[in-house]
Amino acid sequence: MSFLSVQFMILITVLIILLKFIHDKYAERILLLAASYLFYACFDLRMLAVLIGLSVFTWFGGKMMILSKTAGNVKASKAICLACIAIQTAVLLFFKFSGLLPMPVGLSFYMLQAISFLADNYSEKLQKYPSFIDSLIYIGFFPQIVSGPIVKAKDFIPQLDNRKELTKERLSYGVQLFALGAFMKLVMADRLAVSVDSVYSAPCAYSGLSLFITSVGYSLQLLFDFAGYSNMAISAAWLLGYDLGKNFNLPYLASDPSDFWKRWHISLSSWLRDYVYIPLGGSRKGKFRTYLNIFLTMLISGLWHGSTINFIIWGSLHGLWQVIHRAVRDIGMSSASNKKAEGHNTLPLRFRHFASIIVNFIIVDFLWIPFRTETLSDTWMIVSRIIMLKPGISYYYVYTFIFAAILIIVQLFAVYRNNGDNPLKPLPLNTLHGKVIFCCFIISIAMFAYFGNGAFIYAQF
Amino acid sequence: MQRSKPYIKQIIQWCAAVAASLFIMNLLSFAFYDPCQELIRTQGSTTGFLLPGSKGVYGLEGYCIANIDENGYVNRDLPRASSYYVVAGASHTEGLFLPLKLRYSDRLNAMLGPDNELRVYNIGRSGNFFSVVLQHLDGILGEFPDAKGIIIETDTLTYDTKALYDSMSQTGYDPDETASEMYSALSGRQKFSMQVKQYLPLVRELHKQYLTYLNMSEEAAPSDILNPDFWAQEYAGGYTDALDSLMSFIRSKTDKQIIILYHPAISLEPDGSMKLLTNGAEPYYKEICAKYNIDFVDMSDAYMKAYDEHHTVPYGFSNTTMGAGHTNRDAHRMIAEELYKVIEK
Repeated sequence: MSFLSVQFMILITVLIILLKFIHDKYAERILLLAASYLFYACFDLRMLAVLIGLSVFTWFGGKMMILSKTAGNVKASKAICLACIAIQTAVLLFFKFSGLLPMPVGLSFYMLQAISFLADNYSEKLQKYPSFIDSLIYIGFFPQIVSGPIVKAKDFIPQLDNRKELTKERLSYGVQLFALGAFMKLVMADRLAVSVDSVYSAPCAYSGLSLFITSVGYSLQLLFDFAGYSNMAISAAWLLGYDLGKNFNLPYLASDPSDFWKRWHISLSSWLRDYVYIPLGGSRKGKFRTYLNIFLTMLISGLWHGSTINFIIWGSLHGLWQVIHRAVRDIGMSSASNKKAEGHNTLPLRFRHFASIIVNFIIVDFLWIPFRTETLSDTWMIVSRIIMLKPGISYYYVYTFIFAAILIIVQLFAVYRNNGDNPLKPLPLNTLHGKVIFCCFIISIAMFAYFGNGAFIYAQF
Repeated sequence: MQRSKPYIKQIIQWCAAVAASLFIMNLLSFAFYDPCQELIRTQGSTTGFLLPGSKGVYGLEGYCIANIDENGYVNRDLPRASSYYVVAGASHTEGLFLPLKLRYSDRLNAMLGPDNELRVYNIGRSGNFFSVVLQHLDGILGEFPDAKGIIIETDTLTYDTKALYDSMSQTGYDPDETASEMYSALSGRQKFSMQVKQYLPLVRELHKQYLTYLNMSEEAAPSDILNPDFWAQEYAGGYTDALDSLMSFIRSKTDKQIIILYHPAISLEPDGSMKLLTNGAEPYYKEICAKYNIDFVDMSDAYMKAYDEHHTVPYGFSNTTMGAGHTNRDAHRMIAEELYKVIEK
C-alpha cells in the first residue's frame, strides 16, 4: 500500500474520521495499532510476524532491563540492554546480509526505533516505562514504518497520551504538506528517474559532461524522492495528531559536511549522533578520538544503507570528508584568530559561504555516484569519464535544469529571507488566492505526474 | 443562520478557486500539450486525419507546434508542386516531436528545390505502420493520382509471413472520405464537441494521465519480437515467397517510383556501443525490392556511422531519454540525406 494509492487515502481518511469521534485513549491506541498492522500486512503478511515478534521482544527485554535497574542491579540492567540491542542488530544484519530470507519492508527503520526504545528507557529519558500497546504502536506506527522518519522513543511515546485534535489549521498544513510530498515524488523525482535510469544503464555511451549533469539529476531525484516521501509520512502522522519532526531542510544549501548531515535525513543523523557517536565518546576524548568516532559513525551509516562495497565506500568517504573538514576547521580556527589579531583581510564572508555551498554540493554529488551504481568499477568508470571529460552522447535532460532552477530559487529565498532554513510556508487556505494557488498546485500534480516508477528509493534500505 | 454564513462563503470560495485554477491550468496546457482532434476513416490513404486547418502543441516528447493543412495532414501551408512525392508512415513520419521544417520530409523538400512549394507531401499518421500503409495503397494512389513517387517509412521489418500476406488486403478508396468532405458531413453537435475539446486541452491531458495511471500496475511483457529462432524458422519457410508476392503486388499497383524507408530501432549497450534492433530481414528486403525496382533505403549503416563518428543517436530528445522513442532531428537529417541520394540517382 503506497502513500499514493487510493487504499492509503481511504485508510487515512477513515482513521481521521474515527479518531475525531473516539475520545477513549485506549480505543485510540487499539485503532492506531490495527491500522498500522493492516498497512504493514498489505506489503507482506508473513513479515508482519517479524514486526510483531521484534516489538514484543523489545518490550519484554526493556521490561527486564527496567526491573533489574529498579532492583538496584545496574550492571545486569546494562547487560540486558546491550544483549537486546545486540540481538536486534543481529536480526537486522541477518536479513540485510545473509540473503536467506527476503528483507522485511522497513526493517532497517523500525529496528532503529526499537533500539531507541531500549536506549531511551535505559537512560530514563521517558518518565515511565511505556505500556505494551504503546511500544507496539511506537515501533509499528504506519506513517513512518516503511522509510522513516526515524523517531526516537522519547519524542514519540509521550505524544500517545497527548494526541493533538485535528483543527482547521492542522488539516490545512497536513494536506498541503502531503500535496508537496506528492509533487516532489510524482512530478520531480519520478521524472528525473527516467533520465537517470537510462543513463546509468549504459554510462559508457555518454559524454563526461552528460554524466555529470545526470549525476546532478540523481542528486535531485534522491532529494525529491526521499524528502517527498518524508513529507507525506510526516503529514499523515500530523493529520492523525502526531509530530514526527523534520527530516530534510534544504540539504544542498549546506556549506560543509556537518551542516549537510544536519539537513539531510535529519532523523537518521540525529539517531546516529545520539546512539552511536555520543556513546562512542563523541568529542569528549580528544581530537583523534573525535575524528575516529566521526569516521566510524559514517561507516555505520554506510553499512546501514546496504551491504555492498559501494555503500561502505560511500559511508567511508563521507566519514573521511567530515574528518578532513573538522581537522581543517580545527587548524583554521586557530590560524584565523591569529590573522584577525594581525588585522588581515579575509575574503568577503558572503562569497566564501556561497563558494563553500557549491564545493559542498559537488562533493555530495560525486559521493552519490557510488550510492547509485551497483559496482565499484561502474563508479570509477563514471567518475573517470566525468573528470576526463570523455566524449560520448551529449544528453542534457531538460527537467534536471528546470528542477535545479526551482530548488535554487527556493534556496535563495531561504538564504535571504529565512536564515538558510526552508522558507516554504503553508498557504492561507482561508483566503481565495490561497485556495486558487492550492488548486493549481493539485492540478499540476495530476498534469505533470510521471506514472511508471512508484517505488520510493529509500524503501529498499 | 448566522453560523452557516461563513461555511457558505467558504464553499463559494472553493468553487471559485476550482474554476479559476482550471482556467489557469488550461491556459498552461495550450503551451504544453494541446493535441489536434482526429477524424477516423475506413477508406483512404490513412486511417484518419487531423482537424483541417487546426494547430496542435506537443510537448511531452520533443516539442512541436503542428500545423494541419486543409487535407488534414501535418504540412506547412504551401501549394503542392506539380511533381511531388507522397511520404506515408507512422508517427516517425508525422513528426509531431519536431518543428515542421526539421522533419525529413521537409528537409528533403528543401533539398529538392526552392522551399516555396511542397515537392514532398507528408501524410504520416500515428499508428499507420508499414503493413497499415500497404493496406491503404489503393487509397494513396486514389487520393494522390498525380504523385511522382511514394515513400513508405517503417522502423521495423518484423512482419512475419502471415503479416506480409495480410498487408496485401486493401481497404479501398472512397473519394468522399477526404478531410473537407468528412468534416462537412459532421453534425453541428459533433463539430461543436470537437471545438470545445480543442479549447480544453487540460481535460484531454488529465484524461491521458488517468489512463496512464490505470495502466501503471500492468507490467509490459518482455517483447519476443526479435527472437532469432522464430525468424530462422520464418526464413526457412515461406517467408521469401510472401515477401516476393508482396513486392510484386505493390509493383503491380503502380509504375511510380516506390521507396521503402527502413530505419531500425537501436539500443545503447552497457559497454557504450550502439546496437541495431533488427530481425535480420534486411537482405531479403534488399534483394526482393531490387527485383521489382523498388528502392529500399536502409538507415542502418548511416546510423552506425553517425554514432561511431559523432556519438549521434537517432532516437530520443532532451526531455525524454536517448536511444528510445521517436526519431529526433539528427535522424530526420540523416534520413533526408539518404532519401535525397536515392531520388537524385
